[in-house]
Amino acid sequence: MMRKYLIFLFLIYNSIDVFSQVRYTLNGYVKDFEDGEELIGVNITIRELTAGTTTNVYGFYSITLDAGKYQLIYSYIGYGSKFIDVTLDSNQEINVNLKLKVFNLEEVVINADKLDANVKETSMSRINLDIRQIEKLPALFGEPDIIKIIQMLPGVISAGEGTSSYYVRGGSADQNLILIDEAPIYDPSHLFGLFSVFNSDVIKDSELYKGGIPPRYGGRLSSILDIRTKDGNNKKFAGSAGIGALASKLLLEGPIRKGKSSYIISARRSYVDLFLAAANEDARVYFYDINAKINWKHNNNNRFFLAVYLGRDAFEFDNEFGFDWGNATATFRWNHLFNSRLFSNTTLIASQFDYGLESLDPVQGFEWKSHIKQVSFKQDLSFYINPRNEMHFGYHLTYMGFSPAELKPNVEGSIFTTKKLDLLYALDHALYLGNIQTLNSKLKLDYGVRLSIFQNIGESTVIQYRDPKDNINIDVIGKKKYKPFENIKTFINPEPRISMRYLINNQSSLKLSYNRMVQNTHLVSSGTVPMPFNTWYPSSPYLKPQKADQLVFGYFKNLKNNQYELSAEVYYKDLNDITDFADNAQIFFNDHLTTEFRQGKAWSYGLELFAKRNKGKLTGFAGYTLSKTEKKIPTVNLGNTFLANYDRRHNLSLSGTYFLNNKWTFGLNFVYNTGRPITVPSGRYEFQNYNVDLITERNGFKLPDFHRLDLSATLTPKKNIGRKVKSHWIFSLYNVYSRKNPFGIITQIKKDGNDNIIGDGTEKEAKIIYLFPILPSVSYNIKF
Amino acid sequence: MINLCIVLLIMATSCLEPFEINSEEVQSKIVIEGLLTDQVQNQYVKISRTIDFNQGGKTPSIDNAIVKVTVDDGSVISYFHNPGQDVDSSGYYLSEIAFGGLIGSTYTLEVDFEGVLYSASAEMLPVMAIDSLSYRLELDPDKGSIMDYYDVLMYSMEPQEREDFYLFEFFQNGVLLNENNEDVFVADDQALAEEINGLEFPFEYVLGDTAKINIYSLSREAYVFYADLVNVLQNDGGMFSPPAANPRTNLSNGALGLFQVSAVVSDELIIE
Repeated sequence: MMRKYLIFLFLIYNSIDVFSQVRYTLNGYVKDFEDGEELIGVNITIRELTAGTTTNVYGFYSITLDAGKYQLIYSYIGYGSKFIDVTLDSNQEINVNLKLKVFNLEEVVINADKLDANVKETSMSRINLDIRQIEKLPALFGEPDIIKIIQMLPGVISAGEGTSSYYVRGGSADQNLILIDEAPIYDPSHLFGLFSVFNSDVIKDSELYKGGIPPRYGGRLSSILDIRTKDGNNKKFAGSAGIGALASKLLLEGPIRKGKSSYIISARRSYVDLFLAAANEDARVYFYDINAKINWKHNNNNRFFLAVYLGRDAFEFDNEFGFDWGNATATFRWNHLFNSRLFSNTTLIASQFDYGLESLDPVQGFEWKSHIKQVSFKQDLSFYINPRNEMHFGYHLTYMGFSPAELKPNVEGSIFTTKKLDLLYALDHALYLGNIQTLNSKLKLDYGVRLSIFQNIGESTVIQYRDPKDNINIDVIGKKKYKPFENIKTFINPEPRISMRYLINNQSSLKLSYNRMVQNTHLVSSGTVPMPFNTWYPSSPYLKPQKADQLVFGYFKNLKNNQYELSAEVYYKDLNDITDFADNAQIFFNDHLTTEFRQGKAWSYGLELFAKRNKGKLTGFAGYTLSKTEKKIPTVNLGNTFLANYDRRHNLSLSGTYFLNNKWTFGLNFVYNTGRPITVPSGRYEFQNYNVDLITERNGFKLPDFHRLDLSATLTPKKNIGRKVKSHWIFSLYNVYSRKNPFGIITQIKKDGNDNIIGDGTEKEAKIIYLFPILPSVSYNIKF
Repeated sequence: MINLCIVLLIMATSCLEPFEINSEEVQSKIVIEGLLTDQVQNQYVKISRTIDFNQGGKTPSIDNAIVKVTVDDGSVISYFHNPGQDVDSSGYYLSEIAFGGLIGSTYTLEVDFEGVLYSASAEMLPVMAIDSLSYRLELDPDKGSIMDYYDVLMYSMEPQEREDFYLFEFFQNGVLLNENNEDVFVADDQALAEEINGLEFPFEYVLGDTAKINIYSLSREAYVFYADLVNVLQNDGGMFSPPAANPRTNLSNGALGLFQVSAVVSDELIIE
């Protein structure tokens, strides 16, 4: 281990050039001319040097050069390039506004990323999604949803239709870190996953990392989804609104002080209630989302924003029974320039996820609550050493509180008593240091290390068991009490990360990356799809941190002046101490939940092919994945290896839009994957009056293959031209050929169509549950 | 509760479709169902086998096992197969004498079949006392007075000093109520208040009905068995519910089923 770090230090040391000549730094921000949004990933090239840099996620760039005369070229997809001549004889700040190109048929571009990033950047297994494109694709109930598109990407698997869970390269759903303006979202689902919590209107930029994860990210094993919301138009008041089949939304944005500060607020609410009203008058079912952000630029060296997300789902039936869940996050960020080369980001984050169940019955009335809360401080720094080296380092500290369950009677005379499972607390520290280094014209490296220090702290009572894994006859031999903030157990894990790119020529490259990831928050869930009614648990005396090592090798090629991006990646991922649960685990309201934990191994490997067309009338992507994921967990499935329920041998997806003319754009999505492994009965037996399934193997059976085609058409009426308020219609057709895709299997006593038992009631049958047949929908949207 | 959500979700748009499971032939396993209560009677043990999932009819019974129960005072009670020679009682073994178990005693069942010994032990634990039952008329305003029904309520004191587990059975005019034979009514007293002030039966009754409740005390192992039984009976294939698995049992050597030792209380009332 020591040796590894010595090499690392050596690399950095070598990268700091001896300053033989007078050098100056150029820096600044690049923004959209129209609305003042900072642009991410703008290419800045120095013509004389054929070298350059890109703007970071805050639209900031910095480059240090020898004194002299240069021409700078600022270019960004979809925008007109800008050429600026500079005489560099002092440090300079150059802020640039780029104009969106005049609409041109051949110039429809779908990539928010740099044009040649696919080949030239060190990053691999990373996908940037353009929300403007997603809005033109077909969507379930016509509601554009970024998670549903992520589920189609190679290396990503969907839990099933109508879910917002996804699985990345053999990792379970809780191994994905989902961030909105850097705040974690613990459950991204609305309506049990029919929609995700992300309102497409406010998304500015989103990136999914499946591998080659930079050291500034950590905490989950398999992927990072980093979603950033818009800053708000700081030049003029604007807005948009949409009416969809299940939800409506409104967005307003504008300057507070022109050019200095801006706001954006967006809200979305479902009206499923109205649909259910037809079936059941007393049901109240709804969700809402609110995104709000204030941005202000004190001066060029100090910028601030405050972003808030609030979302909630609530269900109530007959005024008797209800449940709800939701996420709430707040992010305050301060961007500061210490000098032209040292960029700092100080962030304060609060995030909470909670759920509740309630019964209003006069006798069995109760209220059940559970939550996870966290407060984080993050200090991130970027040091632009020279055109060849960009160093990133920082410190993150998070305080977490976990409340597994709290039960209270809510009526006088309820049969229930107040009961609360112990709260759990943790302090999570991370230190990281990384450097992006261009060694020569061919080789570029991105290397670093993240040090994760996780402390399970008091106040807490740790129970000692004779056998901590015996979940039937629980034998408590002692209890140890810890005071608030007293250290219970500390877990220290270094996470080395390295990516390298070797440029074969201007159009193609080879990339290699190795990642170690550590996860200290564990989802307490035993089904396939994480339900909102699940809670989390920290690494603690009975739960080790989960670890993953991933190696990826890939070939990347762009064709026809970056019109086409192609890539092929192979990966191997080794997961250790991954958290699972004993067969028949009792995960709800269990004082001895720790006795149900089982940690074991999983491994996954695969090949991913990806092709994308960025420009032209027809744009979109095609992806194919061949992969296998297996697990081996002590005592689960008798200790034998079994297929993960998110194992899919083949996975194919197509997604594209065709721009016919200024009036019509068409969209298509197609997915195919091998059936999900599932546990089915191999036999049956009688016990009392019960006819019970006999189970012999976990996930030993494969459901039929899943495939589905969706189509959409976007109509932008001609009369929009010259109008202040512009409108468009989106027509969607979900599951065009009405395939009955299996969602799950149930077994029951054999019955006829009218629910009458056939025969003597001993015969059993299996039935597949399928969700959506062909579903048309329409939504109407305006922009002003 | 979770099942309720799934049902609601699914009700909106989804459907069920018959599906053939072509499961591989697996070796048949022994199933032992033993019940020993504090009521003086011929106690029983039923022994049968598992069969293929797609096969209908009664499961085959085993009639040539050697069955006995040993009490912790050293006494042994032998069980004999179907002493009444009743065709429907094949696979049932009855104790040679009528007896009732004693609270605090531990009973060990031994089944010797084809040279393999299957055994299980359980202590008879006390059961809570039922104070009384009552009923109340429930009006359904939507459906008019024709659809009125009665709720039956139970009153009891639940001792809080010990962790207890219970199994409930509900009857209507002598018939055990259990929808689709998929419901299991078990409870642990962790979350129960001391005073149970009108626990509603989970079934509706009409005028003239006789409503009856049985409450069985369970050992922790038996409670675990029944809780697991719910998981396998109501499984959705592991989408939202945990993956199906065979219930954990107190029986050794891979036998399925349970040896249940319970004190029982019972009460009934006529709705008039």
